Amino acid sequence: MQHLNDEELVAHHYGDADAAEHLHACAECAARLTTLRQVLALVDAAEVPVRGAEYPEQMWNRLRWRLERRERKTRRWLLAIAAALAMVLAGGELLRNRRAPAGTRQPLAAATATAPDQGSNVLANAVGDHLDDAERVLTEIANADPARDLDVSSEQSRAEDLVTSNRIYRQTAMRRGDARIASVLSDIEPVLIELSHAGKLSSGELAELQKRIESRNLLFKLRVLNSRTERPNHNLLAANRMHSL
Amino acid sequence: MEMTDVAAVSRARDGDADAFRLLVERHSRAIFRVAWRMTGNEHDADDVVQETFLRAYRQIDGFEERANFSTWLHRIAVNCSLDLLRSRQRHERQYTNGLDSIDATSDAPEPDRVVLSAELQQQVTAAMKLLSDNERTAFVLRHFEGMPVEEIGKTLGIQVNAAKHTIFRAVRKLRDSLEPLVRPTQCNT
Ligand SMILES: [Zn+2]
Repeated sequence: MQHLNDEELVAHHYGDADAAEHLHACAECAARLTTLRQVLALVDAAEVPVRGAEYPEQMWNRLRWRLERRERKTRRWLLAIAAALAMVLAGGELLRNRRAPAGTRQPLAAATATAPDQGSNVLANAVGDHLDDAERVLTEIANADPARDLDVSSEQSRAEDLVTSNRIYRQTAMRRGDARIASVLSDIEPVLIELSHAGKLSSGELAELQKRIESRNLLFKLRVLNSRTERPNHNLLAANRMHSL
Repeated sequence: MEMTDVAAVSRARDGDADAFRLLVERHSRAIFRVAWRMTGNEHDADDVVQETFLRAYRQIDGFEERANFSTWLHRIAVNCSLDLLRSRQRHERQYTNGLDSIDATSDAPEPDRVVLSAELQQQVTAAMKLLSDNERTAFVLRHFEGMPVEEIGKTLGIQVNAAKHTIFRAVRKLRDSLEPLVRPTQCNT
């Protein structure tokens, strides 16, 4: 009687072939199958590293802002338009104040009062979102393991977007005379530019960036600025953000 | 009442973040397990879990409501793991130049992979690490995921017979490594 070869035994175990007849008649092959199953049971019993009850929540937090990016991309144009609108309104306001004779300033301002307000609300919301984005990217860099290379290629287009919007907001802030915002935005710009050019950061480059983020207190400045940036519709935006993905 | 996966998918498709969050919360630990088995590395497995859900989100329109969401998600996780293993292979190849063919035929463990401890757990982990990427993938798919051989072939981009043989090689390697542990008293037979 020809015994089952190993391949036939494995195929039988997984139900990809039927060798029941031989196994029934041959104690030797039946014993080999038993051994095989004991080995596989050992593999089954091997523990996978434990991920605790908090893991799903952590994973969601890792995922959330990456999912938001999709929506943000489509919103990029809206943001650019909002920023441009804010600049025009801010400029218009200055112009009006400069040109209006003292006596007529009040009624004119009252007549157009809603326009500049809406403009600065739009700007505040847009800048706030931009600061959120920048903070997340810098946090990810700051928290990355400096012993490993970091693949940032998937972040490249995001970094490019950030560079673009950073420039718009920095210029707007300067024009509006908001030195605080302008200064933080010009601090983070070189880091964003570097990220937008890098496909992969070697551990050396990563450590260099981390040092820069840390030594210039960039994350701290961003967070402080972000917390002070009043966003009239922020909660509404945050609530709608995911729904419009 | 608990929302079913299918209901959650359909709401996530309409942009309901909480529904997608529910799916992440429900399945991330199971996906971690398959990712860990595929990559053998916790850090990689975490990355695979993340990438799996990102892909699932992007491809959610392609999910057919008749299908099982968990199965669908597992397939994505397997593909993500394979991509990671393959990109790493490519990366490593750049540094090993022509040594590839020698590596491929050598079953000897790398020095840092030799497990000195006698603990069972470590032995199994070590045995799994002796498998090539294809062998480990084929084994995980057949053994843990219950994927049919034909589909394993498609996943790996190889013929059915080659897939069958890859599974077999994986099992044989595991048996060779672990057999002494399951019948320590039978040396005299
Ligand atoms: Zn036999």
